[in-house]
Amino acid sequence: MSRRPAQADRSSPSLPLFGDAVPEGPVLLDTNVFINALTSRGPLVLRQMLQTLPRFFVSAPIRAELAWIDGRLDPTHPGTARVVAAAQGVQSRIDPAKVLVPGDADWHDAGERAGRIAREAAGGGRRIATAFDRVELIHDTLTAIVAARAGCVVVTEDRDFAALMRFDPRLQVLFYDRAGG
Amino acid sequence: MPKPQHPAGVRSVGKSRARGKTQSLAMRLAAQMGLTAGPKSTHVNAKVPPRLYAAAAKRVGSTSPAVVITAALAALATEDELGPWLARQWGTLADIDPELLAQIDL
Repeated sequence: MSRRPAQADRSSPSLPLFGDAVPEGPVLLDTNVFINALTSRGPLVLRQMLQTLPRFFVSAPIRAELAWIDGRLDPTHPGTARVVAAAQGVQSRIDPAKVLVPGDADWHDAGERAGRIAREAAGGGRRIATAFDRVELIHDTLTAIVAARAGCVVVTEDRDFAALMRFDPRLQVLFYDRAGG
Repeated sequence: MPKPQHPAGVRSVGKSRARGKTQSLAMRLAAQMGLTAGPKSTHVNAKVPPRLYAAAAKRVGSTSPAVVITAALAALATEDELGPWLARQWGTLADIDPELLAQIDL
């Protein structure tokens, strides 16, 4: 997920960017991929990947974030039906066998790691203080944990995953920038 | 500028794709889905294009018809339509009210 995607840091040689590299192993799609695809905010290379690869994984937290759309939108808004239909279309095409589900130990580790990131970010001037921020970071951390274990490459625009990479050398992430970004 | 260092599992554009990974993943998924459990009782007797068979056998690393066909079936059976469908839906919500999208905060 990425509410406030950080700008791409192309000056960082260590950040693997989608397009410069492409995933070789199985791919796990972050929530922002779905939203950016439907709203045409993703780069062309992302669309090409979706057309090409035969199977995609998501994590259980991403499953929840997608389902959240169904319930969150104002039912009286004229655009809600279209957005919900698209979100449900996505959800109905996610193969349950390809949903990576965290276990009890994963939840524990995710909470601890997310807490450490929040503490260190506070020292750097960024505040992860609200319940929403906390939940988002824990979801990202859970996603990172199950993806690393399964050998999946996470495709995301969310730079928070860069901070997660140091916890597990198996975690593979490819970052993308929004189209025109 | 220094060249980006890619972690294992991603490759630079233009480099050749490692062989066998898709098949083994498909076989693992097929097993996880319960598709490979039980006795191997279905007989397949089919004539197939020889070059297609040879290419598949090379990918799977075996010339055994049972191994090649099982790997091919697993690859087919574990595919999903999510990616191609999402690619076809590209931009279908591009005109949606930004205020509505702000509600889901994604």
